[in-house]
Order: sequence, then structure tokens, then C-alpha cells
Amino acid sequence: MPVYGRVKWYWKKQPLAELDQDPPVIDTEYTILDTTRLTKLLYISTKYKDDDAVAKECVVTATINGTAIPGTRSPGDDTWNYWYFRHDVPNLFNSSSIFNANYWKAKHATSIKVTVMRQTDAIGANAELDGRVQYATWEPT
Amino acid sequence: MSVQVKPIPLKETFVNISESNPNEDEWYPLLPQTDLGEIMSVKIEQQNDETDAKNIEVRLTADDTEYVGTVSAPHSLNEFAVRSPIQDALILLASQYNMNWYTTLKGHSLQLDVRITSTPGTNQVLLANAHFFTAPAGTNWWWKHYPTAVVNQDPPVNDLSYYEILGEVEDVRFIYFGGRQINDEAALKNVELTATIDSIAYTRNHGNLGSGAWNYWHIRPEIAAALLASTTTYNTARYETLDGQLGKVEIRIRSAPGTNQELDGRVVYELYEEVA
Repeated sequence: MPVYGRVKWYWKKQPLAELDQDPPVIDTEYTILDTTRLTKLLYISTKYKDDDAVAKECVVTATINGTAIPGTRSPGDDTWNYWYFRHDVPNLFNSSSIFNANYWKAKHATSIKVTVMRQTDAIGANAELDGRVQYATWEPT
Repeated sequence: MSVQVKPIPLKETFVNISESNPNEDEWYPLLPQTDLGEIMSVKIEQQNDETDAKNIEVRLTADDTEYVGTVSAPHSLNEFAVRSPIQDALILLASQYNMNWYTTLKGHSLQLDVRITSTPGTNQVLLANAHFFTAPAGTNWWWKHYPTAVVNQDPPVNDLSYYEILGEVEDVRFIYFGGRQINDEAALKNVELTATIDSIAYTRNHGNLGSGAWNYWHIRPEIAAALLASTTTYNTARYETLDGQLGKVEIRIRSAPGTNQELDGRVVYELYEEVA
């Protein structure tokens, strides 16, 4: 008969993982979170702005248990976007409305790495690239 | 020393009942008493030849706490049972929600029953189904259901120490953070709710909380140690639950109290506890 947990483990809420890259270098991947603990990923958020005030391509990649899941957006409006895993294709999608990492659910994985990168378009003056991840990890109590 | 790193393999089950010519006021079991369960959703429906609406009740018994919900169910339309965040009852909604709005309801012991409380119609049928999960026998730890933690501070003192909605608990799954203020003038007030979870104080001072309406505080995605508050029903992490190894929740008013000022807080939660 299996016995689950002689030692009690539970979700420990971790501090917000934060990236503030001012300015970012084009085509350089910046890590927001990199963990090999069992993780409950609640939210992934990114934001970009520069003085050009036009759309600039950003790529977020969530590597889940070794598999990279990318998502692309062209923000530039200094607005937070919330990324989530699509149910139909292996991509991240995003919205200016708040969604959890798995739309209406958290994303669970034994290893998670979340990165963001500015790609393709020139970096304007006073560029700021921000990333945030809210999460908990499974820890002994 | 054994270490739990694998997820508990849950068994997924759908149960359905279809009771023809049910007796008025007789309870019919939908989910017999079940150990180590997690209810995703409960749906009921009634049909009769007259196509009349009938009163239907759903009863949830979760770890010795009982919740009942009643609805005048239209003929042949679904109603979904949800544990209310603002009262100790179930509510029945025409829109599809899970048992705890966007999330599930867990307990060491769960049971569901349904009944018709109107005079049954011709060829009356009472239909219900439940979608739930169970952990295997031998599971050492599971979430135990607790009654909602409540504070009713009438009147509150302005800007003083917090009023505790839920004192410090261990290994907690927070489902809702609810807060409300009421005053005779229907004036807006500043109300601040703080949830301290694993040494981080998540807080929001809602500067213009309307009188009478419940607000649901939930963790903010992109700002450290912050909550958002909304009259829209959300769980503690929007559509998800906020968990922690240590947690407590407090509320206070930060405006001069109005006439007959009331300050109310409700926290719905479950604790991960050893199975007896």
C-alpha cells in the first residue's frame, strides 16, 4: 500500500520573482525564474516600453520539465501582460486581462524556467523590460 | 525518512442520479459519504410535464459542517451548486461554476444529497450529477474542510490594530478573502485587508470601498506583497488558490466610522492535515 508523505510537505509561497532590465540588449534572454523544485506557477507577467512608443517584439519562453513553450507579443505601451499556456497548441498566449499561468488554473511542474527577450526591432531610448512570476514551491514543513 | 515528491494519484469520478417521481422533502444521496475527496462541480435539474419551476435543495456535508442551498429551478434547465463566499450556505447558479467558484472544495469527509421541496409535478424527475476526485486509501495527508472564519466588528475603531479574521494557521489553502463595510450614510470608506503568508504581508488599502457590497481580495500578479480588491467574485489567486505553510488574515478600517458602522471579514480556507 503506498504511503504518501511520512514527512509533511506543503506549498510554501515564495517571494515574487522579479526582472527589471533597463535597458535590455536585443536578442538576449533574461531569466525571471529558474527553479528545479516542484512548483505551483500562479502568474507570469511582462511589460516593455521605450521612447519610440511603437510595438516591439518580445518573446517569453516557459521551459516546463525541459520542454520550451514560447509566446510572442509586440507590446511597447508600458502595460502589463499576463501569459498563459494554451490548451490547443504548445504556445504561450497573453492578455492585458489577468489570467493564471494555465488560464484559470496554476501550472504545476518539477522544473520551471521563465525567460523574456526583446527580439527583431531596435531598442529605443530609455527602454525598460520587466518580468514577474508569482509561485509557490513544495517544501517540507 | 520517506519524502513525498510525487503528486497523489487522484481517482476521477462522475456520479449521476435520476430520480423518477421523487417524494417531496425526501433526501436522495448524490455522493454518499466519501473520504479524502475533492468536489469539482455539482449540477442539478428537474423536469415535469407541466414544465413548472420547482424548489430544489442541495445539501453538502463537509467534515461535519453542513451547507444547504435552495433554488426555484426552471423546468429542464441546469443549476450549479457553489459554496457561497458570503454566507454559510450553498448557492445555486444558472451559470456554470465550480464548487468554490473557480476552484474545488476538498475535505476529509464529503457527502452530497438533493431533494425536491415543492409538490412534484406529473412525471416529475429529479436529476443531479457530481464531478469529483478521491485520494487513495493510505494517503497520509489531505485537505480538511473548515467553517468560514468570520469577523464582524460593529463598530470598528479607525486605523487601530487590525481585526483578526483568521489567526495563524499552518499548511493552508486560502479560497476567498472577503471584506465589507456598511454605514447608514452609505459613504465610501478605506478598508485594508492583509494576508500574511510565509512571512510576506500581502495587503491592499481599498481607498473607496462602497457600503454594503462584499469585496474579494486576491493576490496581485506583478507587484510584490500586494492584493487587488473587486466586487467581482474571485478566489485568492484570481481563479486559483493561494497556499502557504503559515498564514493569517486581518482587516481594518482606515476612515472615520460612519453611523452604525460595520466592518465584516470572511476567509474561506482548508488545512492540509494528517488523515485520522
